[in-house]
Amino acid sequence: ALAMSDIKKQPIESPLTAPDEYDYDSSDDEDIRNTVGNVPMHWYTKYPHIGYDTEGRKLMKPDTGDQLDDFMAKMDDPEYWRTVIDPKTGQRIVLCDEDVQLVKNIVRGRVPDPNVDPYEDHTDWFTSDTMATPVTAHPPSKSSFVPSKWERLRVGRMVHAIKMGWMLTGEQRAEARRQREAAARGDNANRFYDIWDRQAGDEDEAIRRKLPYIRPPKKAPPTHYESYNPPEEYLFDDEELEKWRNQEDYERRVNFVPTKYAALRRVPAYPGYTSELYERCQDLHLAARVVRHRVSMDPEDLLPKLPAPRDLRPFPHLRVLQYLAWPEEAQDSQQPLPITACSVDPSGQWFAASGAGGRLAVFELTTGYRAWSAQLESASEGGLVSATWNPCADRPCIAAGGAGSGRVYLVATDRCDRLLASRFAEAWATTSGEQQQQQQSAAIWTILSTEASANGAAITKSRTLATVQLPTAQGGVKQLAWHRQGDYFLTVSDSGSLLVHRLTTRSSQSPLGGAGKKAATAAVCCAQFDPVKPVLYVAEKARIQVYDLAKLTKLKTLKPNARALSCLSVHPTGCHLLAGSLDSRLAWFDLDLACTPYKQLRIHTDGVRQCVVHPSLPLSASVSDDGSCLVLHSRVYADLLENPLLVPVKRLRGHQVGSVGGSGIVRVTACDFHPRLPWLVTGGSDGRIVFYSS
Amino acid sequence: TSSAASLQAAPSKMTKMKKKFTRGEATTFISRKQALKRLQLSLNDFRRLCILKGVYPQEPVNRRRVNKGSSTPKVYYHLKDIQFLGHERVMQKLRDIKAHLKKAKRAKERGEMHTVDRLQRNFPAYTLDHIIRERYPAFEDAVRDLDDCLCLCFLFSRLPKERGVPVEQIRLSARLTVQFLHWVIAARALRKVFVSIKGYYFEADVNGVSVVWSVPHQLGLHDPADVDFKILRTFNDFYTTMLGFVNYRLYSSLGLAYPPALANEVDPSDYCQTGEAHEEFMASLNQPLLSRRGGEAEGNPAEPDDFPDEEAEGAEAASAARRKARAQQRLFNGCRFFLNRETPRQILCFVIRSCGGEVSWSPLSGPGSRYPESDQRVTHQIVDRPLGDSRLSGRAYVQPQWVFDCVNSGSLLPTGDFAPGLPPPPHLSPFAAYSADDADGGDEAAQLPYSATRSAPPDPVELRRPSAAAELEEEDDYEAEDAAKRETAAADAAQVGKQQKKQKKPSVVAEGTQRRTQDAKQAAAEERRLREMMLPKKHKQLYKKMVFSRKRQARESAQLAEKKQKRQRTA
Repeated sequence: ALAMSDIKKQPIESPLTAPDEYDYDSSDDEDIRNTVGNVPMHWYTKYPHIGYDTEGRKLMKPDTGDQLDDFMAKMDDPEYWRTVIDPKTGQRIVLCDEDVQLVKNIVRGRVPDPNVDPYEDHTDWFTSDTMATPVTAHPPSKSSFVPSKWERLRVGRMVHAIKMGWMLTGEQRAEARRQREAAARGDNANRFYDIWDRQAGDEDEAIRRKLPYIRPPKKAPPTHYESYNPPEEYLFDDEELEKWRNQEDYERRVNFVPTKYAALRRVPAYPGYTSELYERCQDLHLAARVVRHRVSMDPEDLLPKLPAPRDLRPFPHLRVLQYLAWPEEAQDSQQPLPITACSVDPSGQWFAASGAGGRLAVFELTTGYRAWSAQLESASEGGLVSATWNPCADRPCIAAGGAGSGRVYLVATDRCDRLLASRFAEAWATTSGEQQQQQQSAAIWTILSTEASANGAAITKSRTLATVQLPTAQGGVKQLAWHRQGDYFLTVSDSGSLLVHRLTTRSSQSPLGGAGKKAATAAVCCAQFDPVKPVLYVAEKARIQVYDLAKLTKLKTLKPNARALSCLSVHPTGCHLLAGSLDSRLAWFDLDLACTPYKQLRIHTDGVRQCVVHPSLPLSASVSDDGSCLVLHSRVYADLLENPLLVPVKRLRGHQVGSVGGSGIVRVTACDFHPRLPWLVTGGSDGRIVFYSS
Repeated sequence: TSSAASLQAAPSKMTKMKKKFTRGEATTFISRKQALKRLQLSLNDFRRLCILKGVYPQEPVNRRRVNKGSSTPKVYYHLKDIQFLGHERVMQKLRDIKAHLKKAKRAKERGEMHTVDRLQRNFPAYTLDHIIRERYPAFEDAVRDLDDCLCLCFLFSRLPKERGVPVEQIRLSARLTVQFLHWVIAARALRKVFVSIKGYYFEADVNGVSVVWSVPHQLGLHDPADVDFKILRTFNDFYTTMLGFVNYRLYSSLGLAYPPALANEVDPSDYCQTGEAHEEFMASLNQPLLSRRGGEAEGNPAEPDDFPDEEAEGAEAASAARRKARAQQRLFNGCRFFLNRETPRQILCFVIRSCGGEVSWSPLSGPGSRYPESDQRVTHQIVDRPLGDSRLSGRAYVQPQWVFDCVNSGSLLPTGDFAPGLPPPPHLSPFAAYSADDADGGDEAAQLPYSATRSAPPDPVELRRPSAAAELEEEDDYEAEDAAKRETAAADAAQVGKQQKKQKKPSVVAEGTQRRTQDAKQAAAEERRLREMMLPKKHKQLYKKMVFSRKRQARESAQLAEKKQKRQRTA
């Protein structure tokens, strides 16, 4: 290997004699003998070789001697200071003077190569001096002698902007700055002028919001509570303060605690002042505005204009008598059994009452004297329901149904004109003799009393004439109603089937279909005969069917808007119907008008048990589980164009007063009017009977 | 052929099926989100625009129909309102501002200070003059909306300067409110004053419209955490513009120069800088203003005309109000007041001068003093602390409340009750009726002269926010309150009368009468109950509400009366 130092030490000769540098220095890969590449050479310190040649042979490290040799060299060799080791070959190389100079220059931060002059004179080839002939041969561009289009456009835009007032000139800018500074001092009051100097014109209209402006409501004016020195009573006491603290914001009547300050100078700023104003501002722009026509009216004005009850007299309003129907029963049991029905006789002197204890009794209306009483059914069977006096005076008898047994008792009564009684007894005896067994009847008639007295005259004493046993499948009797002429009566049973019974023939039939045929209607709740026409009103659970009995057709269906009908009552003209329901409603139907109620009355707070229309006076009454009996003035006009007048005139609470035992409300279960006078009898669940007169 | 023809004709008879929610309410209203999209605005800018333009949400008749069958709670605007907003030129300015800020930020971050400077110089500014004209086509419309404007401007004028509100806005508000107060003084338009724990309430008669505003107490205004001052600032922007124009108009109507100038040269002396002298002396409210002709403006109160209009309803009350107003305008004529330094100077000066009095204070407490304490002609000195023996003769020493109560009553009250050191009589709100309904309330009624004030008429508009339903109920009831109070007061008066009558008669007869009246009462109550039963379902709810609020009112006033009696007994 040729040491570099050897070459460098040779004197520099003329280029002609100088050796070609490529002879000894090469960067070609072939000439680099060690092929390890650019890796840290200390990897090879542990090995005897220092890399590989192009043939893959190991290049052995040259012998560099030990430390002693090194020391000797240091001592002896004058070139030692400029000797370095080539890491690629491991050989020592002695640097020449130029190399040393190079290193020194680098260390001192000078230009490494001493032959390079950094401050050489600049030769200005492309001078600013115009030369006779150009350096380059480019022809001059057009833009160099034509005014700039883009500049023109830009200036044009600026001029336009200044004209339009979008851009400010220097002077204007100065003026604007002056104004801004004035504004900063809060001194731009000069800018205001009379903005309302002219009337609103068309151009204003064109830009105006078209919808009507809803002015926001004013804030509520301050009350005495807010005063810094309020009257004493406006301050909170401890209890009120506690209540106020426990309330939510929206519950509070005032949003602060009223406070009294001894002097004005002690009043501090209110902590919520800004927040309240902020709330208001929020309301102004976030809250929907609604115009609500708030009528500043008296609630009195909303109430319907009705004639005063005192102008609608007479009506029952005085509690005249109140007594237990069966005092002995009350003694037996702690809780008196309720009255199930009241019925006044056609003469108006007597009335019959049936009880849940199975007793039937006849009382004198005005005195409460019990003229007759009998135990027809046992209480365990369910007692008697719906005792009803035959409305025809010629047939003085009472019908009552057994609630459990399904048996109807026909009871002849002697509490009437004796002549009528005897005539009826005779007729009964003769007909029962003739037609005893010939009928195909839907119910079983058992004649109990047909025998004449010893002298041939019929017995006129009160006694049970006959019983009618409904088919067992139908259950007990729920309701019973007489036809006005007193020959027919109908029974509604628990199962909801309806039977019509006839006295003269002692037969029963099912007008709506029944035995054998499929029932034409749903379960019947109650039913009534029309007092004038051959029409039957049958109340189902939520509708009322009207049947023509002569043609055996359905006339119409009434819809009372109730869910559990409980009672019906037909006006004596047959043109109106009153229906009560267990969902505490009362519906008045004008039958000529519509199938929907003329008036829906919610006058009770609990189920209506019975309603009656007075046979001759413009009165009706309803009794309810809420313990009251409501008397209505119900005037019907002959003029068909005029609506009936319905005015509640009195709420009777006779059963509430002095009721014995029992907690809770005494239900009123039965009522009936006197046939001619404005008198009313009611029976209640406390076993009492109350008689009201006008 | 006829059948064929009919077959051919059939399709033409068929109409296209109408799509649901393509007409009617569903297209009349637009939700806020839709509105934002339509206007290409951010929510903040939209709010700002709504505030400036006075656009508010609307309540559709049927929310489901508007919201395509869904009942999600949404805020609805009328489509026309949104279209109307779309034509607003301020909207473009808002967009410009947004772009401008972006540019400025970018330039600043790049360190291009020259660009920042240029952008700052050309910051897009807008004025709201056209919106004022558009929202209030007539001056009267603006006056009617002045309540909120004044409240907010007075609040801003008293804000401390470090609250994130630009100083110029605060100073502008202060200047404009002072100008307005000057007008009230010059027009002698003050009608009611009330010192509440929240602040001072004033009512002024501005061109026949009563304007109510409140001013917070001066000391220690709290810094609320829950208030977004951006919104308040937007409102204030609009309101200051509005108040400026209103002031201009009011000043011209009185013949005063605008912008206002002081009639007399003021001596800034040692108490303020010369540059601020004008403003300071204006704010003292104790200097007459320059009229247009150049002289000192005469106090020329707008005399309410008294037309004898007997047919009009409430003519009696109206003429009584006019008489009272005239009395208030001349209330303090000839009185010279001196204010001690612990009293609220600006408020008292405003009130006294609005009623024709003269005011001064110690020159040490602030500019605007006109005569010294030792002035012999001083008739009243207002003091708000216990006073020693250092009293000057020939003048009455009163507490500040005397001034306010005098204005409310329209007459000079005896000063003895308001002497310093004594607890003054209760200060009642002139905005609410007070019923001194106790049997022994006679002498008190003399002291408390507000029993005959009229109450505010019911306001038919509601601001409905979903959460504010309860508040509205309250509002409802407050209105009913007055009516009920009046009623109970009347009833109680009748009762008292009856009792007095009864006492004259022998006891047996009285008992009989009592029973009879009781029976009659019961009968009436029952009759009423029967009529209530016949109420149609349509009216039942309304009726129940009305009766409920009345009953509550009656109960509350009864509680108040009871408390009063109890306190009197213990005292």
